[in-house]
Amino acid sequence: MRRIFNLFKKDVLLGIKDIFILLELAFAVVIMFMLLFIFPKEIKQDAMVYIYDQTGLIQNIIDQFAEKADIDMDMELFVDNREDMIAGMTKNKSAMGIIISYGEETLYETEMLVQPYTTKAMMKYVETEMEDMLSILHPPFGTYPLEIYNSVRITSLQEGLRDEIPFNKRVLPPIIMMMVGIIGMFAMVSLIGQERSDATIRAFRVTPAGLWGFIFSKHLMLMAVSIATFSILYIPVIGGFQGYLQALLIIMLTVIFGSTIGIILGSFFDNPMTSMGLVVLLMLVISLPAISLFAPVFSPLWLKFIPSYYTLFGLDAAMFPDNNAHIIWQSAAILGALDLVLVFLSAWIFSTRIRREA
Amino acid sequence: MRQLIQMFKFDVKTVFKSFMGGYIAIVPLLIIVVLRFFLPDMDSTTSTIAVVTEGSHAVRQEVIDELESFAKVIKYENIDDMEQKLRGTGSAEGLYWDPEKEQYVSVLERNIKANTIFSTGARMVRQYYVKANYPERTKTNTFTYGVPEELSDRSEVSPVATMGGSIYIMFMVFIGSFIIGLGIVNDKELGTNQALKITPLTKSEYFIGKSIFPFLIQLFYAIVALLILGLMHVNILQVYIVVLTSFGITLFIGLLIGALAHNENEAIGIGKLLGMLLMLSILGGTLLPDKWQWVVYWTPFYWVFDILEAVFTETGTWIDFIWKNAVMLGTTSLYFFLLRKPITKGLS
Repeated sequence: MRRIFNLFKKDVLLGIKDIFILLELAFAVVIMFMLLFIFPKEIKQDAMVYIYDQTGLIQNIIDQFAEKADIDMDMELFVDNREDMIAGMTKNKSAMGIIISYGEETLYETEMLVQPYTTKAMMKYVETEMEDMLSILHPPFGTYPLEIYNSVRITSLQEGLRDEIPFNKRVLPPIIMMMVGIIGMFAMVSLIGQERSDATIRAFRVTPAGLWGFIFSKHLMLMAVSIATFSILYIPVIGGFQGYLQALLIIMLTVIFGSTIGIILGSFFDNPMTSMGLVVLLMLVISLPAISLFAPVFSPLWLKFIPSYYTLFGLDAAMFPDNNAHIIWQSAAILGALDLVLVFLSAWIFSTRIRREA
Repeated sequence: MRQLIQMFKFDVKTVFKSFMGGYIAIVPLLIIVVLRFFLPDMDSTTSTIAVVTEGSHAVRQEVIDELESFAKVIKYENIDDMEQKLRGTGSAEGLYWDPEKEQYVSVLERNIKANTIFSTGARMVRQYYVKANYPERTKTNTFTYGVPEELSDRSEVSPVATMGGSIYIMFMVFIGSFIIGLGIVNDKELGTNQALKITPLTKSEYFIGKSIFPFLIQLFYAIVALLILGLMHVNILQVYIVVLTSFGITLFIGLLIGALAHNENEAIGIGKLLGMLLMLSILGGTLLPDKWQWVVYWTPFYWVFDILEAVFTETGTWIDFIWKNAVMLGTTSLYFFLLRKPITKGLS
């Protein structure tokens, strides 16, 4: 234990000397201030669908519904003419427009203005939605035969809409993942590279601490730095310790994951420079699940094979509790199991490679 | 000029000797293939419906067929498994048949009390029911769609591909910086920079020589990105101008890494932190609405993203293109100016 502690002390001192630890801490402070004072808290997203309702039907119903349900539905989606709609679509490249008017052959006519890249599936979706909505809303009692309403009922797992999360808090999970979670991937590669070039790795083979002690102390050092940077970012931005321990658990498991990958890369590449391309590639792959976090409808199965998926959703569930505690434990279990395998695998690969080098 | 070419040759030789060359050739290609791989999934998604397909709660195949025409349908054996999907990550709706009440049940993750009618599943079921039981009923709505004349000159390539292309080129700018920075640090560690002092090579020739290889890599992969992401119809001259102007950022970050770091450890640490600027720019550029994007105006990466987005979606004018490039170069020069002392000191 004492040996490990001494090694840990040495790693921390070297980390401070190499300014690596100081840089991590300073940058965490800068990002924290940016999130608190520069990034907006409340943002109103640009409309995705503009509606020009010449019949006034939809606007009235939405107003009545909003009043009855006591919710704010000021979505800036209604426009007064086609020109405003085109202007909105020109500005927002993903936006579409719907013009509703009274029809000649049918009760209503709907013209959907799309972007050249709007998919057929989206058009079919809107067509189904408009037919159904207008069939229900047409005054006084809709156009559907009454029995149709009995063909389906709606239930839900939870009541009420999720509280609006401030934007600067919403972006915290990916920032923490990139800034803290994958610290090990970069750091381990360079720490091992440094020890290799100084030939200190070989010396460790004959010390009582051995190569396992060497790796263990580096894991400890990176976890200590991660706890500090994580706390600098988390506590002020979230505004307290809500979900702190759960989020810390998830991020520590991610740090271990990143560190083990760093050890494997460091074992195979003599020079950290040569492994950087691979690290950047992994960084890109690891950031992909963030798309699913911000656009939940994009959630293909293959995304779940990327470990950072569990980091992001685990952090999100810990930071913004919403009957989703099981996601935290599920994520922790998956990351934990993965870490268990990778810790031993990386240590085995590392010691085998180093012995061979000798 | 001869010295420059010699320096470039030396650089390429060193890079390929350490297998770095192989990685530079393969890794960006892998990155772009990864991007290409996930684009179709992004494009085809409108909503996800989890349906029960086994036992007494099974949804009829005809309803599933209708749903599949616009949504991603995931099949489950029972209600518990289906609800498990809804409780998990991502966003989805559920659908099953209730044999006792002889009606479908559309399950939402969350709902407000006042809504007893609207959900994607409920819409589909009602229309299926009408079609099956009232084949003669006229539709309530005539639906047409089309691209308005004013937007007809826009590219047909999805915003996902254009965004992916922009992010990829930004990554290449960053990789280029790493190559320059780590190359300088490597020379510092091996003492090559000292040896070069007694050669006719000037300092500027040394740095220019070090920059040629990453610049060529960026040029090459810009065209590879356009090819693989199906963006060859865009203005290639504009793309190359952006690669050229954004090389200012590559050079700045590369020199900064080279100047501040004394060894590869420090270089990687500094590089990783500067990578956060890249990430903030991507987050700001993709998630912030237009009126809030000023928040990330200070990072030159944001301007690369913004310019490339306009070039790939063919929505920008030459005037916009020029002033945005000027702002990008201006912000980069400002950082150069502010940090000129530590950079000069670190490199001397």
